[in-house]
Amino acid sequence: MSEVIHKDNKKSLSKIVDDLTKPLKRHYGFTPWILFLTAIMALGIWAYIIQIRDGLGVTAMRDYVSWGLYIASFIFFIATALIGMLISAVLGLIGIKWITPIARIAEMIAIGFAMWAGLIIIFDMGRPDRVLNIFLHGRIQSPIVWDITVVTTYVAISLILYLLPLIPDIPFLKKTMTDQPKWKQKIYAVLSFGFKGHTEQYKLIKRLTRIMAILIIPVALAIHTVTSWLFALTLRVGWDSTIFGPYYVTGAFVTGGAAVLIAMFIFSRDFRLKEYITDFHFDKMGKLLVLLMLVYLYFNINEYLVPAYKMKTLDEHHLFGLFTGKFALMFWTVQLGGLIIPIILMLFKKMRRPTPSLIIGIAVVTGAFFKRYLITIPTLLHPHLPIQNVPAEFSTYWPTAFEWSITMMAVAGAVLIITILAKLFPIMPIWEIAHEEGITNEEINKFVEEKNN
Amino acid sequence: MKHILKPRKTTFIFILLILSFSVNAQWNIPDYAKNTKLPTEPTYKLTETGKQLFIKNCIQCHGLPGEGKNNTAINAPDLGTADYQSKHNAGQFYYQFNEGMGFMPSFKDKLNKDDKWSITFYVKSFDKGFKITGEKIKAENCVIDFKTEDSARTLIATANIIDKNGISKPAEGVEINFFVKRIFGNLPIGETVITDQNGTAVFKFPDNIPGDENGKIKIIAKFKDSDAYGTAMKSAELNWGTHLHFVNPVLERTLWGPNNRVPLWLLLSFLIVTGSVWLTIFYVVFQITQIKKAGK
Repeated sequence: MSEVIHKDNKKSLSKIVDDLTKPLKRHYGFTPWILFLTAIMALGIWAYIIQIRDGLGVTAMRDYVSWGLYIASFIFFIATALIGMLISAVLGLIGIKWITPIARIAEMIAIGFAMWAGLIIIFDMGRPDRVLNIFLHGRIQSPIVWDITVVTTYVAISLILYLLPLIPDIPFLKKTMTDQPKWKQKIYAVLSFGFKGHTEQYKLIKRLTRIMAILIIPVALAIHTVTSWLFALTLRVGWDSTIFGPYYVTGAFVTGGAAVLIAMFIFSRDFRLKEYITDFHFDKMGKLLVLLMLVYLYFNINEYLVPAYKMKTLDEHHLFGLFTGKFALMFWTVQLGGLIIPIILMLFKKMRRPTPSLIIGIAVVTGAFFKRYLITIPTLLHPHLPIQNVPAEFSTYWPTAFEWSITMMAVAGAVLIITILAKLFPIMPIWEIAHEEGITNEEINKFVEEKNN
Repeated sequence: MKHILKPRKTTFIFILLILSFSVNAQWNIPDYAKNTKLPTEPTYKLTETGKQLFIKNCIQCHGLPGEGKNNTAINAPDLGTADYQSKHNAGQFYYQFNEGMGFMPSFKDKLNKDDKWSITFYVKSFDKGFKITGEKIKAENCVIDFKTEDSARTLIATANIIDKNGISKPAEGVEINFFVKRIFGNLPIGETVITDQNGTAVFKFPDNIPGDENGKIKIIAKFKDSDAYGTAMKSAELNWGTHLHFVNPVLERTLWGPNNRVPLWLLLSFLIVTGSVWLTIFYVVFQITQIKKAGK
């Protein structure tokens, strides 16, 4: 179907190249945006310096709640990063065409959020200078070591999966970005890896991309399953669950899918790419998100209904805390506003149009963030071995301004990485879009040569 | 715990008070009691026996004499006060505790005559005018020892009292306990043994006490009544324990062990999975450098 739409209004190669490289040169609102992100990060860095100076006591974390906002954010970041695998690998490998203009966006989100996920773990450490000890003395039996291994691996694969389809775009950049600073052109020269548009080279890149796309599927499943195991391999109420792996993975797809919707809206408006990211793409992405949310809802029902039906003594305290207790407001807001209402709304075609999609996307992402909070904190407030005569502050938790500032720095940092990538390289693969428009390699090579002269 | 018991305790005392008012009786000690002849000479040895009997039978209501831990709710007096002692001589005390009245039970049929007199002597020992003869046992003059009869796993303990001339005499009727040294304190084993007129007592050591890898065990003998005989003790290392076959779980390959003792299945899985993934990554990275070649 997508091909029919494209063939109706065929775009010329020069128009495609022009449309996709213009945003790299035009900087409306770029400086204030960067200043805004930098300001948030500066605040976060200041908060982090204080945290290093005074210790983790500046956070609200105490003996009971030892995993607070940082670890909740860590799961959220890993979750958001997982969408890169679903869109560019799973959908790409089964040959779905409409993902071409959004695959790279998903990959950018994956890189930005996966990198900062690793940093958030370090923010959670009281002695970050000892982080190297995890590699020197880490125990292979510990899920923390598995987690560090898969996060590193996932960042590496995501980077390669981002860079590989970028290589055939470099000749376009080399020719059109001649008015840009020298350092940028140097980056392009390095990243071209001597690509000249030969059929053999296209074949090799496609083959390597395919290998990486296959490889990223188990690794991405591993990264979030292991993250869930950090919780599920303990005997804590609310974490001691056998479905935590798939529960996290589907939850991650929901978060990432909603994040992609937000990014699609911003890029199609700000970069003036409405012709490439059309209502059709929003509609498809919306449908995909509904499917993902339904699966996630199914896991939610399993995760809460099954223990609630049995109501074991230990579970009881935890579950009533969520359903009717202290966390009830947050719990039901997240479940209704972040999952059930979005599912119902997105069943209607009108709600899958760009603007409603953006609003629903924001609701789902916000809900997803607080869902991680609800997974992490309430369990820790019910310790297995209660300490006697604890200070009152141990049994409550609400993040301090320091924690919020540092978490916001991580969000701003991930967005900054996405922004920088979007400003350095086209956010869609020019060559793939050209191929879909029926433009041959010879035509592309000829175009690149022409410009050269 | 304290605050849970309190209401019950108060009710109990309250009921006792009502009862004591309703009983409202007076001791009526006949005159002849005052002139009762003592059956034997009070000796230190007898007061010691009396003390043990007092602890068993009387301490709940009266407390130890002179310590003021008596139960006033039922009018049980502290028997060590000068006031009590001046009003009751040995015969009067004997009468009281033999007959009983109100809350004070009668001990007529509960204890034999010798024991009752031992208690009487013990209580009267708090009266400065009451004469006690015999040798006062001083804790620091008691020694304990034991030897072993290896074949039968038998311990022969001896208790001796050293008098002021430095001559050791066997102590009769002394209770001795045996212990085995454990990591946290001493583990009492077997029953208490009592020395005979030769000051010796035979103890059969059980054969199922765990020792170390060589069956080694540290045995300790002590006086049961350390107040009277002191804390003297004798210990010896014997290989009478069962041999311990201790497999240190920390030295096995376990999930909770250190990194150099990771279970092999886990190590292999980890290495194979991460190894094959990273080999693929390196392969792809290497192939990227071959793009230039492919264009020639």
